Amino acid sequence: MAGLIPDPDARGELFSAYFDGQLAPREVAVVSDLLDGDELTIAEFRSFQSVRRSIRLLPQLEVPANLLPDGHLGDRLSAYLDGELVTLEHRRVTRHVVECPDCRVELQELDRARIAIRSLPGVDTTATGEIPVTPAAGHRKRFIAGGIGAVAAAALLFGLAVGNSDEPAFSLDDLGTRHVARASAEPGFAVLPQSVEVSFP
Amino acid sequence: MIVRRLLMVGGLTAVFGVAAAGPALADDLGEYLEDARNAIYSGQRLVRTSWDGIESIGIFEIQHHGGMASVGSGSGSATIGAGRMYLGGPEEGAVSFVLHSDPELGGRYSVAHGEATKHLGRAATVVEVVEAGSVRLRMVVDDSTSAPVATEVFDGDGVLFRYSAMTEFSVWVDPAMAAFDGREYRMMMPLEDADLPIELAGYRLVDAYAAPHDGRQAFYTDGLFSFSVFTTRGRANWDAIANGDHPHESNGYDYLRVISPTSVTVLWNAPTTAIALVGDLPPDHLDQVLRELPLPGTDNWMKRMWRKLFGY
Repeated sequence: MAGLIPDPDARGELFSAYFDGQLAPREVAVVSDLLDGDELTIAEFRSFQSVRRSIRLLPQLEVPANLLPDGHLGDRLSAYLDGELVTLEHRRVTRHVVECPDCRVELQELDRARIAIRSLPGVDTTATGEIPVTPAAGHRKRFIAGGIGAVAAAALLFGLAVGNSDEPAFSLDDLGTRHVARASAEPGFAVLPQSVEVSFP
Repeated sequence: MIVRRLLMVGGLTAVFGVAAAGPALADDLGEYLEDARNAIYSGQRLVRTSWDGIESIGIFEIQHHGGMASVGSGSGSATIGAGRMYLGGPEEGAVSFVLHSDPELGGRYSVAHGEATKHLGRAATVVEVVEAGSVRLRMVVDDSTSAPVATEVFDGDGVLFRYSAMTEFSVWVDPAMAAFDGREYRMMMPLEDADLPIELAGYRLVDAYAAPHDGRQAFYTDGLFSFSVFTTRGRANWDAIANGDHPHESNGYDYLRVISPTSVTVLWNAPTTAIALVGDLPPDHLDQVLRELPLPGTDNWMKRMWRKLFGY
């Protein structure tokens, strides 16, 4: 299966993009095929995963300036994140990042920036701040849910059940969905099952 | 007992999968959660919540990859992850919660590695998440995918509160699983102030958002469990809104609670505010949190005077 992408650099770039969430579904399929039964490729995949995890867990320690090594990494940090560095250079950059607080901070900022860019949605400029409130009466309710992860409520996406101003009439489905949608950004979402009820028109 | 048969995903076109990689035991909870976030798998999951003799059970279809979970198909599909949610079907739409802060969460939990085991015939490892010397969460982690194939959440007395387990498991996912690329989202922008405590019983306030009725959603997490507190001025007729609710007494005050397989919703009216708490936190944590939130009541001047004089 590894023969699908024989070039190790291209494979590394593909894995890097996977962890950045930048792959289209078909490209995810290629990643899965690569990992199918090829132990070396699986080890490479795990290595990328480990590097990404390590970068995010690196401490940001203050070190006296006179102890800083010369020659920072600059553009090579981006290549490092992209998995474009060959073995020896990869090790050297890793060692430098461990020892150099400046490059470590730069690497973490670069990683965060990539994550932020990855998470940028197509912004609907007509709707910011709050979801419009419109009646959703008469909707048929059914329950769909996911084990980890979950579902959407039409009330949240397309309008909210409302009451009169004297007595707030919440939709419990909507509240649950709002919570699950926000909670999906948190680490615990990966291991704790979540679900919400959903209303479809 | 409430049993809900949930939407079954029709035609899971399994076209690819991930093969086994060697188990790599992580050193802390964050690493396990990160590995679980990256796991690729699909299947069926059973979840049961038991609390005070009330049971709620759900069976869920799931596909998971890249930190996103997808359920349903055709008109009922939904994909959620990273604070974003996409609903497919005729009324396609998506919402995105813009994250305001990335708090440093306290080290309430530690991880203990358990024995090797098997789940659905697959090699797995038991991992225990310990809080103050007691097991709070026990996970069975699939060795090859890092997927949490079974979890048990315990209350403060060590009683099982929530159980979930994959009853079908595959390393195959449908490549048509909705991606977030190129979608337009309704944005939920964070507010500067939630008018609620920054910390509640070990949970940190992370973000606040606008909510219905000029209200607010304050989102709290301790790094594992999470809950949202929805507040709005006025009093809500929760009895009319809650379906299948049960009374709940906490710290001497009466609340309504609605138990679903995966979460608990608690509803009450404070003197000037209608409040709903939705989350997956265990019962003892919940009671600690409720103690620090505005209490149920219908304060008039007599009550306020009484409290001022006698402190309760």
